[in-house]
Amino acid sequence: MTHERLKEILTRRLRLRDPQFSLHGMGRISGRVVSATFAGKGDSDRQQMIWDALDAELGPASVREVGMLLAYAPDEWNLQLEGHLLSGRPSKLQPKSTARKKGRLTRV
Amino acid sequence: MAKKKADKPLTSQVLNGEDYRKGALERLDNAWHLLRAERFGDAIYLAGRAVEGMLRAVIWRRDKDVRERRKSLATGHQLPELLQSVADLGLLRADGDHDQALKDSVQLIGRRWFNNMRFASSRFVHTLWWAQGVVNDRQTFKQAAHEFYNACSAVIKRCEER
Repeated sequence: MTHERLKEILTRRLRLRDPQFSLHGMGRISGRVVSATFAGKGDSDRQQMIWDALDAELGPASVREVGMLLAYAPDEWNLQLEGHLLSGRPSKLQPKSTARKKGRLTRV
Repeated sequence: MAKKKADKPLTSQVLNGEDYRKGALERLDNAWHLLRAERFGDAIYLAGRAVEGMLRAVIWRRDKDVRERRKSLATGHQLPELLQSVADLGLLRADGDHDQALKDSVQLIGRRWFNNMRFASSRFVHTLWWAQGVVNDRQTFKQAAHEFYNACSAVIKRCEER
């Protein structure tokens, strides 16, 4: 499983609107996905959507290939907090070149 | 005779902030799969443990004394106390809507979760939550477990933004 394949599966199966992904790991991919498609849904509903899609596409192998994918609506991501130390965590609007490698968000 | 290095008992001192974070995410993932399989007792226990791990990760990252082992992270396993530690580091706004939601979620988790849940059966947790009024005629154990998972996930997602 590659990052690109996982992005493609989720984007197609969930019909994600304007998705942005930050994925890491190779054997078992984890990370986060930000999309307006998740707005108004609880986290267990979001996980249900994601795993229904992965199960339909990958079958039982899905749990071996994919780990925790945190699902955010756009207004939930990158909220600035008082006392937040700028640690380099990228804004979704930051250009790719300035985004910290680990937390990089890429638009599909 | 001196003990071999490998014989030394392991303690939480071997964990750093990134270890706590990764462990928390893995536990939340496992909690989801258990929830989906309707193994609610295990799901609830692991989701609460994931929150504890993530709050510990936040404290570890922000508190130099903890990182340099001058201060212990051994706050017990009381989630409201861990949240207070996070707040004491100046990482929560007093009046922010989002942080109020975070506090509300942690308080909910703190009221419904306890460390010895690791020993409890699903039936025990169900009975306990019934006695607390969490499970009632309007909310099933399954719905309450999903609500709990959502609260835990909300806290962890907020911590991931830091």
